[in-house]
Order: sequence, then C-alpha cells, then structure tokens
Amino acid sequence: MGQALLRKTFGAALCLGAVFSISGAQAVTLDLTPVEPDLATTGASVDYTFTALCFESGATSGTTTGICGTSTGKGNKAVTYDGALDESSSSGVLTVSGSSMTISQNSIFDFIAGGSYSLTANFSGAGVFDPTGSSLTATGTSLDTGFEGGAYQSGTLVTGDLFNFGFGGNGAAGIFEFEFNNVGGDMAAFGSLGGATIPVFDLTPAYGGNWDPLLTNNPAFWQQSFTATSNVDTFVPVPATVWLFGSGLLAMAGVARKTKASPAG
Amino acid sequence: MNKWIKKSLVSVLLLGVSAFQVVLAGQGALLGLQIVNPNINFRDVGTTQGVNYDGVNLTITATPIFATFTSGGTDEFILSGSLSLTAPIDTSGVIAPNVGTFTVSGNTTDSATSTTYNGVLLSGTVVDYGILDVGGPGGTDLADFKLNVTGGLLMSLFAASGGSNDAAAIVSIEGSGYSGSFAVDWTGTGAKGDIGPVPTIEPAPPVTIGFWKNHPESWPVSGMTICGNTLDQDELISVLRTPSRRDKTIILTKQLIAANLNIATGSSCSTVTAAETWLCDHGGIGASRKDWDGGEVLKNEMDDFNNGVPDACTM
Repeated sequence: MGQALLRKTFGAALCLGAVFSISGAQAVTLDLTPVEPDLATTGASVDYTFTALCFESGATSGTTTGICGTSTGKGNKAVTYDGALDESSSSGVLTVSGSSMTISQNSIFDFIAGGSYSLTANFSGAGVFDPTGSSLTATGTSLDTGFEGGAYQSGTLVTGDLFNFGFGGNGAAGIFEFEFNNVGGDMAAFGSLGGATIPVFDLTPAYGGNWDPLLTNNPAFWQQSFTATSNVDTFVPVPATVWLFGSGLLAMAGVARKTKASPAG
Repeated sequence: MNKWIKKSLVSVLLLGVSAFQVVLAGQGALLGLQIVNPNINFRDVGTTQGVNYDGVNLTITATPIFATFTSGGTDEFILSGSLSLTAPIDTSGVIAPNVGTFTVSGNTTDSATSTTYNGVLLSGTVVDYGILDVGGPGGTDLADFKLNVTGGLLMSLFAASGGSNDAAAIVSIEGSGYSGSFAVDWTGTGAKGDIGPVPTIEPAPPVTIGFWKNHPESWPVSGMTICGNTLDQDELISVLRTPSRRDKTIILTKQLIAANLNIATGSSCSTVTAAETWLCDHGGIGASRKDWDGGEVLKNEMDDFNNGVPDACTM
C-alpha cells in the first residue's frame, strides 16, 4: 500500500516535472518573482533576429539551404531557396541591452554609474532555447560608494549563464523570462542562481501568438524578427518556490530509487 | 477557390476551431496604450511598495527613478520621489472612471534646459485600465492605465508633447496574485513601469475590403489570430480574395478583417465583438453556412463602417 502510494505520488511528480520542463522551456512563463538585490535596467532595447534558411524551391528536405527567398547561381544553374523552412539550420538570437540602471537592496536603492547591461539568448529554428552561448552581463558601480557597505564597486554587477526560458503574452505585450546560474560579479554574494524578467508592451510587429512550437502559427512567433523596449529586472537568488519545486522532485526521485532498491522496505 | 485557400480553411476546421479571436496590437485585456516623452520611470523599492487590490481599490505604490524629457535624451535622476495610484475597481472588474487619483512627486532637473522641478511632478485622475494575466501565480502580469493629468510641475510639458491631457501608466506587476478576476483580493510584490503622455492620433477614415486586399503595404498589423490559429498577411489577403459562394461565414469574415484593420488605424467599431462571436458560434471561416441566423445585421453594420457611413458599427 505504502509503496503503491509512493509510486503513484512519484509518478504524478514526474508528470508535473515533465510539464514544468517542457512548457517552462517554450510555451509559458517561469513565473519568477524578483527579490532584492534587484537590478532594474530602464528602457532596455530588446531585439530578436531570426535567420531563416529554406530548402530549394518546392523541397521539404535536402542538404543545401540558403536564406529564404534568395537565389544563387545563374541561368540553368540558378537555385532559389523558397522551399520549406530548414529548422535545423535556421536560428534566432534575442539580445537585450541598456545603460540606465538602479539597484535596490534592504529597501533602499541607488543609481548605477557607468552602467551597461547585455543579455544574449540563442534559439534553434524550431524555437527551442539553446543555453550554449546564452548569457548576461551587467557592469557599473553604485553611485554611492558606501551603498550597502560598498558592495557594488567591483565594476561587474552580475554575470550568468542562461539555462531556462519562458514566455507569455499576446499581441504587443508579454514577458520573456530567464533563469541563470554560475552567477558572478557583486551579486554572486547572494546566491548561485538568478532570474531575469523582461516585460514588453510594444512588440513590433505585434503578434497574436505564443512562443510554443506545438502551435501551428504560420509563421511562428520565433520565426519573425521583432523589437521592443523593456524595464528589465535581474535578481539573485531565484525565490524559494522554484528551488523548493525542483528540490522536491529530486528528493522524491531519490526516495523512489531507494524504495526500488529495497523492495522489502 | 484555389487549392491553397481550400487547404488552409480545411486545416482551420480540422484543428477544432472553437473560439474566435482576432488579435491586433492594442486589443485584448490591455488598453494597448503607448507613451512618448517626457517619461517618468518608476520601480518598487523594498517590501512595502507594490500592488494591492482589496475588493474596492487597486493601489500601486512605487518610487520614481528617472525622468526622460525628450526622446533619446538623458535619463535624469529623480530624488526623494514617491508615486501612488488608486483606481476604484469593483469585484466585477469595472472601474469608476475619473474617481481614482494618481500623484508623482520628486526632485529632478532637465540638464538640457537646466530647469529644476521639485515637488508634485504630476497629478490627476484614473480614467480607465487594462490588465493581462500573463502567467501563473507569483509571476509578472501587465497592466496599463489611462490617466487624465490635472496638475503638477510637468503638466504643461505633458500636454505640449501629447497634444492633450491624456497620459498613460504602463506597469509590470511583479509577484502578482491576479488570476484573471477581481472577485478575490490579490497583491503584487512590486511594480515597475513608466508614465508618459499619450500621443494624439488622428484616426484614418475607414476603407473597404477592396482597399485592404490590394494595398498590403498599408496594413497596420502583420497578422491576426482566428480561433487560436494565426493567419499572416498573405493568408488574410487570400481570405479577402476568396469567392464567398454564398457562404455567410466567408462574407462576414471579409468584413470583419477589414473592420479590424480599420480599427487598428484609429477608427472605432464595437460590432466586431458580436461578429466574432457569431462566426465562432457558426463554425468559423469556411463553414459553408448558407443562412444568416441573425448574422446579417452584423455584417451590414461592418459593411457600412468599412464604407465610411457615419455612426455605423455600434452594436
């Protein structure tokens, strides 16, 4: 009875985990809640560039692809690339950059001098987030050299490697979210896992879809380049709820393995 | 009907079209307001600032951070700032317009003109609001508020830039407990955003289906989502060019697409909501509906609207 209940619970947890993993990566928000220290970047530029490569005319597969709508060669050697999109060769890059920043900690805030914020996130042609080469960096120093004991004076506020992505919204409004690890810079003192939220109200062009490869949008949201502006939040650590969810799954997985290894219980 | 449009329409039907929705920039749960300079940027600081809805009022408290007086201009510090906004919203989500108030105070200097503004920078009433439940509990939701500026040291700058006293607050609500309803109280742990003038846009006169299908360069949007399926501009134009063959859903959809494009360029037509509902209830685009079942009056309203008939499209 106990083992059956445990298996049932563990199975449910795995299902939840699967949903969290799949949807969190592509289709829904991560629901991150900013905490202090909270680095706010005002009026940041958001740019997404999709490089679309297509197969040759009329083709849905093949080894030769080119930029969609273009041609190479001349005469009877001309090849036009207006076949199906080659998702395996296409790619997208989301960049966020800004310079006006403030940081809050312990219910007070300070302006950042010489601030520079940069985030780069890579995506496959199928809209799948690719952590490889995806990172963020914020540099600058707190204007008040004594702010919170001079904690923000090294010149590097935060660095991190992005590892998870979420998006939600519709039309011209939405929010991009990332989790990052290997936190460096001044904010590393507060944890090894951080989050970044990028709300937008002016997606151009506006799009009535979601970042979900399972939808049949044509073209999909991530297959179009777009721009926006955002007041970006970058914070360390990620709130406890996300940690608890992940650690809870790991703990249940551990218990389940132990139970399986000792059937007598 | 060519093969492509047949294929598209069949696909739409096979995908189990159950709800009709046309998504355009500025429509949906948000008001879709955009702002220009001068712009006041604000953020939450600490744990006492944020968003609270108590069944009567939606209240936002935050700290003004930067004032940007011109586009591309310097982000000027705001010192000793405070921001509060109260919007009376009932449990059905209905706001009492021009009853709620907002106030932005602080000390800032426009370095380009060496002018210092110290005190109440902006004040006025809350006219309307929109809110979008983006994610699950604890995530970030989005809201926008239409404001009427009635006072403050920056009032004249706002009016000169926007052409009226209309302004907007665009807010991201962090740690939001809003779940799509005001039936229960909720809070947000923080609020970040901007307040700026809303530019006055002279609405373009409505134009016909024939114009839109022959002038793709004039389209204000790149696509619409119909019953959860997004059609890009080429596909929408294909629908506009599809012979109706007495299919009422095709006839109505053509007027609906044109009406929504005219709305996106500044005209007003409230009939589109009822028209969308009718279309959804009668099988969606290409359902081969031969009778109107009450839909003709909606089609006629939009037809008049798209042809510039005054006071049309108010159903």
